[in-house]
Amino acid sequence: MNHADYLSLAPLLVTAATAVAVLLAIAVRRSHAAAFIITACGLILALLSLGLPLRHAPRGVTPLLLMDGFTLAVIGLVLAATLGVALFAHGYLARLRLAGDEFYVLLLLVAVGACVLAAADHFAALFLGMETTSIALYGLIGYRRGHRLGLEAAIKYLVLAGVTSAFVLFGIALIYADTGSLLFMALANGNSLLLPAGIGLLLVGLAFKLAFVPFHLWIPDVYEGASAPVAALIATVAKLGAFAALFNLLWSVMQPGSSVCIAVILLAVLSMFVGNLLALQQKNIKRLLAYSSIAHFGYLLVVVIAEDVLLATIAALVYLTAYTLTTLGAFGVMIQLSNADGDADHLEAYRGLAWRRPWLAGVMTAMLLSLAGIPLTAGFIAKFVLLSSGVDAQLWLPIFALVISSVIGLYYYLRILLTLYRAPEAQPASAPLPFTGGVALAVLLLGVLWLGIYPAPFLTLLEHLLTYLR
Amino acid sequence: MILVTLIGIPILAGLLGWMLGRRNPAWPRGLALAATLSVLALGLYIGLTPPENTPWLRQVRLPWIPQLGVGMHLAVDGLSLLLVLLTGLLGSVAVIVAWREITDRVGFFYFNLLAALAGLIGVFLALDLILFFCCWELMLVPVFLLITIWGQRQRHEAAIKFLLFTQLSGLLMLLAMLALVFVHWRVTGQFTFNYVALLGTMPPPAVAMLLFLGFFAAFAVKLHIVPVHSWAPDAYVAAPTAVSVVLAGIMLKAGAYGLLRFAIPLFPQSAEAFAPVAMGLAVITILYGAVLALGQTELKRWLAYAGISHMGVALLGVFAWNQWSLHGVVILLLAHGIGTAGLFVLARMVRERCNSADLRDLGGLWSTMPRLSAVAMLLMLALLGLPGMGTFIGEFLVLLGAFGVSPLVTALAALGIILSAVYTLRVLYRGWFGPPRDGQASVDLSRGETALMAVLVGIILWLGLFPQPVLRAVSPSIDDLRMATRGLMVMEHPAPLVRLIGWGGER
Amino acid sequence: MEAMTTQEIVHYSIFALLALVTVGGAIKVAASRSMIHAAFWLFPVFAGVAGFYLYLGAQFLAAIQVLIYIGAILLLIVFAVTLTRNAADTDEAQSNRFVIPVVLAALLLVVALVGAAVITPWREAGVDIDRLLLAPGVPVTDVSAVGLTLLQQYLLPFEIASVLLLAAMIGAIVLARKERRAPDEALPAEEIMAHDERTEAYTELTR
Repeated sequence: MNHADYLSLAPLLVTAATAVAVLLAIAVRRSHAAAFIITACGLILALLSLGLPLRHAPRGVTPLLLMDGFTLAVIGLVLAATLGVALFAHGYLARLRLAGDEFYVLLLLVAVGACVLAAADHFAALFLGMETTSIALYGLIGYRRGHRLGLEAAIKYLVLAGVTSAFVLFGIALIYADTGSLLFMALANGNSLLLPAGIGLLLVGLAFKLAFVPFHLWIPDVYEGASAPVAALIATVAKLGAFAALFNLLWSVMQPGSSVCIAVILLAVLSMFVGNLLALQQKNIKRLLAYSSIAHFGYLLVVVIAEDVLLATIAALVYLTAYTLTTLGAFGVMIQLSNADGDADHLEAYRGLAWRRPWLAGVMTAMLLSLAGIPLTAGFIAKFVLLSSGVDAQLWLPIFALVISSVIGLYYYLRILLTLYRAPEAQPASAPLPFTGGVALAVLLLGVLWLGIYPAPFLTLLEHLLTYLR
Repeated sequence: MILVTLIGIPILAGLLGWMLGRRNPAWPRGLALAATLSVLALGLYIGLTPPENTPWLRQVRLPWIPQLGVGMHLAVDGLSLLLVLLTGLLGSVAVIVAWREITDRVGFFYFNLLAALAGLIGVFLALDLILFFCCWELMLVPVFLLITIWGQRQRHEAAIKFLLFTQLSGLLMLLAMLALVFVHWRVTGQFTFNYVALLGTMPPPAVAMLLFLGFFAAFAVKLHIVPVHSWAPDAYVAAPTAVSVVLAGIMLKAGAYGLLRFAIPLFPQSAEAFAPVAMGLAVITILYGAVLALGQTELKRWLAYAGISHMGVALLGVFAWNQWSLHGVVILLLAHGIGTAGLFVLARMVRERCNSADLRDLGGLWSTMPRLSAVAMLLMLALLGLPGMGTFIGEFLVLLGAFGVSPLVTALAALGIILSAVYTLRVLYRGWFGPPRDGQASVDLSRGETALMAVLVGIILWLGLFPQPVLRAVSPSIDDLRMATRGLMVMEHPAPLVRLIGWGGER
Repeated sequence: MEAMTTQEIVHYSIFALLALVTVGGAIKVAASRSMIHAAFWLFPVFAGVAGFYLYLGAQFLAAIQVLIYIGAILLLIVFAVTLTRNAADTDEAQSNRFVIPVVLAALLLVVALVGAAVITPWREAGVDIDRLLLAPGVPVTDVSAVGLTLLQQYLLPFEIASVLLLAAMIGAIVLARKERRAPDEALPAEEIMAHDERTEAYTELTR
């Protein structure tokens, strides 16, 4: 480890140090405000420190981590999403009168885990990143101690993570038995059947984490049980890390027509259809978003199998960015409507929102349209780039599945949209928007619209980043 | 820059009106009317001043997303200018109609209405495929909201049906666009969504046919051709009148425009191979719409089916693809747009006065409301294609053009036009003649309403009596479009096609 | 087939014995109708695996296995079972509606793994089976080398692992501490009752 190594790790180090700083602050005095301010400042600092590794990228920091353009972009997204969740959680925890300090520590640790996952170039890092993320999430999911569903969800997630670890470890062991190396690169030069078996098990493990069909049964329950900010965290940060790991892992072994490729196509198509079809019947917004995220990651799998690496990477990053902005925004609106009586996760809670709280309804409208991929929102540009990548690779089956299933998806987004604009039944007094949450929502809304209307600067930025590709 | 202004004015006026509308609903109304009238005025200005450059009257190219080969390329020729003028005119009508009809959330209503109009203008001006697609989709969401919030009964189902139909077909079109661009890129190394650059890309015939079908699907849904028409009657009936005016008067014309501008010039061979099927569909649409219109008693639903029938004629004219038929299509689009808009407004007026727009509750309107009835008669005669009205010129030219291609299809289409006389006169007879019913208020058209209807009727008469200026304006565009197909649409030599289409028609 | 040497016979029988203990224990774990019995049956499973490690010359791993799995995890499970349930009153069916798909999936996995193990050309892959089988118990790894590698080459994952432990600790504290909330703001009784059916299984655990 030398100077450049430390610089390359700067975002991770800053985030981890922030967690420690929050702990120390708690030791001095328990204060929600202090914990929040330290977290927010630390995350902003970590985001700013993203410039440091860029000078050395792409750089392998020990064999474990590799900081290249793609990784840095994902880390940036992870940190930004964590910051967003922290901003939302501030008002939420205050409304619920929950002690907030440990929440931020765990939040930061989830972010560290996701960053390690995104940067992993070695199976040890992959495993450690996954475990750090999941272990910190158990605590967060069960954070509302009095809430039975929350505890159920925490235990479900615990079991899920245990199963995932078992699959991943077994897969790693088989790969190691074949190739004698724990580097991702080793995947390319195996010579026995153990390697595909290992990759298969690894894929199953990651599919559990990302909730691809048929490994998706846990996700609606966990979303529903977790408090809204934590559900947002699982939907964005945890999934970002896992997807980046999957992307880094698979692109070295992906050959068209290989068994892995067929398995991925199968996962993608199943996830698109089953996710969207199951979402149709949901009246609970959290469960609906859970199913919709299954479908969205199904769409994203198209880039994993696309041939042109540069185009696929850009498509992946644009889609991840749009997905993160949009999902956070949708959860953000839900969080603003949630209070001590429970999370606003039922469809009825949104009835007539446009007339009660037009500003929140406007944000929700933009987010729903973006999720549905309507032009002039980030979701459209993302889907557009994704389709380009797929058409370029001539992946007709997943692409047609994408088009048809996203029309199915449109139906349930529209249903929420209709509910927003229905005549309200009662006129409950509208609570004022907390400053932190309001700022976060405004930034997300602007981001979704800016990316949808004028994405050229963002694409330039990505192109610049991807010159540092491994 | 004037083209960017054309799109920008409605959006800005909509936003401003939305913000000011909280205090006083007069703001959004006034701003909306000013915006639509200035679109009309700008359109006339473009038409009356000498063109900047050829082949377009006005053109503007700005970078948008250079990385993806997407640019802000707007241009206007005679064809699109006429449709923009139609948008300005019917947009103003819609704004005026909504003046009294819409009383709650006025600001938001006009914002959506103007956004839909801006999207429409964008569709008529865009020469970049992605820009076109964005505008194409941009009109959907506002219309969806307009129907769901301000519509009548069953509005939610109608709105969802509308959006799902258009969105699925739209995504197929997007896919076809992408595939076309990648084919073009593989051949020329130039990655661009620009229409002008993509003209003349020759994908392999099988691929080209698939891509053509992608485009055709999107435009056929908008034009409510028979297998994909079922959203239209529901949406027209559920929508508030102003929105029905925009939907039936302008938006479905965008489907025909898309076929003329994009689908056929981009894939001339496929269009030629597909022409027999399309003309068969056109005939089915004409007859199906006419037969169903015969059985309707509700005025708006009747208008919807009549519209389906008339758009079949337009599709026939488009795929006949010769001088006569294309000129006919343009006139038909304009005249039908104005006529239908007028009739939707009329249905609303009848409904206001008699609390119903159902023929079973109406009767003898002539004796109580002579001025309204005179307007109704003129508009309905225009709809059924009485000589001297715009629709007549349009339908006559289309049939003339189509006859050279396939006499059988033309004969069947003419049958549909005869049916249109039957269903129109039936409505006129049951609603306006006979003894008046009880409980009908006998309030005739006010002076303002008379003026509005007089303008519409006047334009239809003008289109019917002096169509020359319109034909002259649109001729160069039609020549350009036919040049773009480079004689590949062989409708000029119809001999081998007569058999084919005769067969297609018999089915 | 040539006759086996005495040495070989001894080695194969050790292997068979260990396999019998491990697999037999695992089957009992899955089949026991009593939770506490199942927990205790884990002992031969873990011990058998430790025996395998010793047999293959990985003394360090064997020691770790005994320390962590038998010393910590097994103990924890036994505690958890005895503390959360009435250990005598656990005569429940150990199967549910997923039993057939699960068995099928397990069989599929067995077939895949056995197939992979049989088909793999171990010798070409450089794995010296003879040495492993014929000279068991000879250390292949040096324990001190493990330690050095851990603190030099793998310092970074070591640090990340400590972050992981921090997360585990905080998470455990969050879940285990008393809720810091004013009593009047506690959840209404209806909400507690609402989900009782679904969460019955966890009710005991969380009280």
